[in-house]
Amino acid sequence: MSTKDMMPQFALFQPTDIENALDLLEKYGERGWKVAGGQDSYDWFKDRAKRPEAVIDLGGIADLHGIRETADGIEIGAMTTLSEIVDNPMIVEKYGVLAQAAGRVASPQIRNAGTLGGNLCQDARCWYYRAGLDCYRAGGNTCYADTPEGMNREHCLFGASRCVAVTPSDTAAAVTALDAEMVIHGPAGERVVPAAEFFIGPAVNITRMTVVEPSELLVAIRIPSKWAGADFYFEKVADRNTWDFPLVNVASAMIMNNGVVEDIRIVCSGVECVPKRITGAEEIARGSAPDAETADLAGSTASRGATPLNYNHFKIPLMENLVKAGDPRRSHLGWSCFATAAMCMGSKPLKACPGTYFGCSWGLAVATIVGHMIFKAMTGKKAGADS
Amino acid sequence: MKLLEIAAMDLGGSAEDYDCGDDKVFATADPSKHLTFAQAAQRAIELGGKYSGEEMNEDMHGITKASVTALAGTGLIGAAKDKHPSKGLPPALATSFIKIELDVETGKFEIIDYVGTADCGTVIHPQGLEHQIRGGGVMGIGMASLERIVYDPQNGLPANVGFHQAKPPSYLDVPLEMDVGYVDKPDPTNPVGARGIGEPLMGCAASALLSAISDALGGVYFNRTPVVPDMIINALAEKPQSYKTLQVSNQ
Repeated sequence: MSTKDMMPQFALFQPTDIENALDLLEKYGERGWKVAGGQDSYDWFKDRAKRPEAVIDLGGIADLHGIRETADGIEIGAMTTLSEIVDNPMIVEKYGVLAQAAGRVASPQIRNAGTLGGNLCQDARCWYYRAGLDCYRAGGNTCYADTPEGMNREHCLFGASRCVAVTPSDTAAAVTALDAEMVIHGPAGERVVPAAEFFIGPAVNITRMTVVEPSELLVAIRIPSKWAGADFYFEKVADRNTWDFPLVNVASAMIMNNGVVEDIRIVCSGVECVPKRITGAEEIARGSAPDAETADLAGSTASRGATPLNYNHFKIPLMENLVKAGDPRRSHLGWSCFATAAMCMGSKPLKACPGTYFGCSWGLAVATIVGHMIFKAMTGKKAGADS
Repeated sequence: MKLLEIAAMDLGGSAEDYDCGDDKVFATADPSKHLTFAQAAQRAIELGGKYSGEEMNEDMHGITKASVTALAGTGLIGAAKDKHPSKGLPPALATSFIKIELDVETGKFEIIDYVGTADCGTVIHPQGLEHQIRGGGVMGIGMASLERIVYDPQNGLPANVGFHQAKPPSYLDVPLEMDVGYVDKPDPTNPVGARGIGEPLMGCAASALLSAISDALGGVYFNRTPVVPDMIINALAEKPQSYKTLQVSNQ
């Protein structure tokens, strides 16, 4: 569904305290919409895929902002921007995995506007769902992604239940690894939900990604001191190095004692509708030395139970590799040179010097493919399985 | 000219007394004396001969003649041969060199070196030329490794309907520094000795990058673009690829 230029009409409310916001949420219920940084919401509105009657902008509520030290760790207001988290010395020093994850979200401009609460609560990025189709998640009775022809490269390996969308959040993996607690306010007062229970899959509620009810508000994220200063690891693999959602990411926190792993959390996003704790790998690592052998064994179990779709089985080896956190990076330096002479009709391939390959192709439009084939022919290597 | 002649024939005077505009051919002295283009075309069909394409100049190319013959009698037909002088077909010669470092665990690579050179004729604006060489390289990198066309073939739905999903390269996907070189030798077929540049660099940067990826993988050829991380991961894990042979819509 193409994006329209104009924002559709809605009633805008800008409460300045939590009580006022909760009153509005209760009044409008399913017809209301909470806006944090707006980086997810405004896309929905402009695409006409969601048409709320009332939009409640949380930006003016001072109580939702800020990072505070508490008796047991820190508390981050849900409206704290991702940039503030990246730049906060306390988070960088003690809970670095969250700063790293926040720093890999989207682009600098989006991190300046986007908030931690918004990033955690953002909706599924399944492109069929985003196109405004009447899929299960949108209240319909079909899944477009999980069909023989469905383009489901970015979709799930685990926990499919009619819907095969994944959590797109980078920070969700980090807060789950840190055993964070989510503080939710609602008409019945405050409730605190562990991160592991905060995110919900389609089997629980197919129209939502979190336990937050339409009448409730995520107000803060509490990070316990248990993991302060632990060994952290975060890596995100996306097509682009900025402004892209993860194909798979991993966040881990590890506490060492006498040369063995005392406790560990390993969490992946992009493989299930919720951040997936890799408990099998955690169990293998616990009590073992953090060496390559442990990493290989833990990694090889990471994808146990995965059910790939037509286009996403690559996530299995990717996930296994990412879970081998701490394993020395094995990089392969490859290099190659190639020259094409676009529009140079009738030229012949020629080899200039060892290791440097020159060739000519028959016009710009075919330069890429033909050039590649000449390189292949000259190096005498066999083509891939798909040739 | 044929329009003006038809108007003069029907409304009096000579062809020089008429002009065209606003879908009409009219008398310059009195615009109310006019024929609409539709009326003139109708008259051309009735008149036949050179007006409706039944006759044409003999100096035209065979293919043009065949086209005019096929269309003859359907309206007012005009066909002429371009007799402006022209010589030469300036080649756009360019080279690219790319060096990458490929992470065999994630399928991601970093371009650690890029050099683009162009046999561009006389250099008129060095800074603009350098930007063209770098810009062509960036487009080639996108073509080879990022920009996709994805359709759901069952429902005819496009998946990448914006810059976010179509994924042109970002600053962080291209090398920090991109070196350029050029020949600065005048092209004899151009009055100022210059040649077109920019697009040629795109083709050779894409080729260089694809070849570098294949080399890093020890000779795996994908024979398609873009080569994205999932294809590299599957190749490294020796798993089958998800895409099907000759499938145009990439996954």
